[in-house]
Amino acid sequence: MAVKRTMTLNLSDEEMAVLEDLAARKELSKTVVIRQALRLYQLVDAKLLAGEKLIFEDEAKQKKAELMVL
Amino acid sequence: MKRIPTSLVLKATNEPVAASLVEGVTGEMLEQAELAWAALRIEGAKRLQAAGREAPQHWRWDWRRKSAKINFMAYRCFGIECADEMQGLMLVNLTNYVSRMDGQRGKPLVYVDYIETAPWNVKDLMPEPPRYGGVGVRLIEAAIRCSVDEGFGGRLGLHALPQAESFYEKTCEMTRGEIDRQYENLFWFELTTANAKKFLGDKP
Repeated sequence: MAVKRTMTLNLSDEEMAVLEDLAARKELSKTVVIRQALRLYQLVDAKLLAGEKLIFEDEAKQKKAELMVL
Repeated sequence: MKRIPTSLVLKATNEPVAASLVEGVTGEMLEQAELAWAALRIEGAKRLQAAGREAPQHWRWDWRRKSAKINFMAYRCFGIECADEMQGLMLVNLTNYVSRMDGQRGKPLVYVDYIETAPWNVKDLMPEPPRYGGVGVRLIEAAIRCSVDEGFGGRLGLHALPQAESFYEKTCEMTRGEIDRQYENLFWFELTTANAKKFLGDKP
């Protein structure tokens, strides 16, 4: 595993609540949730830069929605 | 890139032989492996087809086409080296898939995107008998350890080529899920946390 560096992350109560909820539901530590989010963001950002789209599909409702990412 | 001592089985003697698990396989290493494997894979597949037998379903794979993925944090690439040659490769994804099984549904897992053993280790693919055994098991073991290190509890998921289903089901004790109509009609296989512990417990 790669060498890890430590940083302090300041979050609002709301942001912390979301992070804690995700960590609890996924049975992950908060650090791992942030790490996963960063990995996903890097991947999505590269796809969008390459001109691809991020689309969510609900097969049952036959609904598709494009997600805009900053 | 890191090399960790491991072992394979030299088929000629059925004795263990020292090998290295490579964590963080580079693009150059993928290129070298593909150059060493490609012709043998294709020749072997054609030989089997000419004999009226089924060719390996992965015979058109090209690891050079997968090298772009290793630049992303979402992917990890592992290899097994022995006798100065790459004996097997595996690319895993850490973010795009979650468990589809009751009891762990929605939980993150390590998804085995591609896994291949060198052509000279595949039974019947070459005119000569296979050189090394245990490559697939060592790579799956690496994927499980990666899942544990990432906090995913050893969970694995993958879409199995039909020829490999028996390996995942019997050797790795993965659970067969549903057929995935959106992924080449391949069956989904998953390793539970309990079976991951069992797998690692069985390994030296």
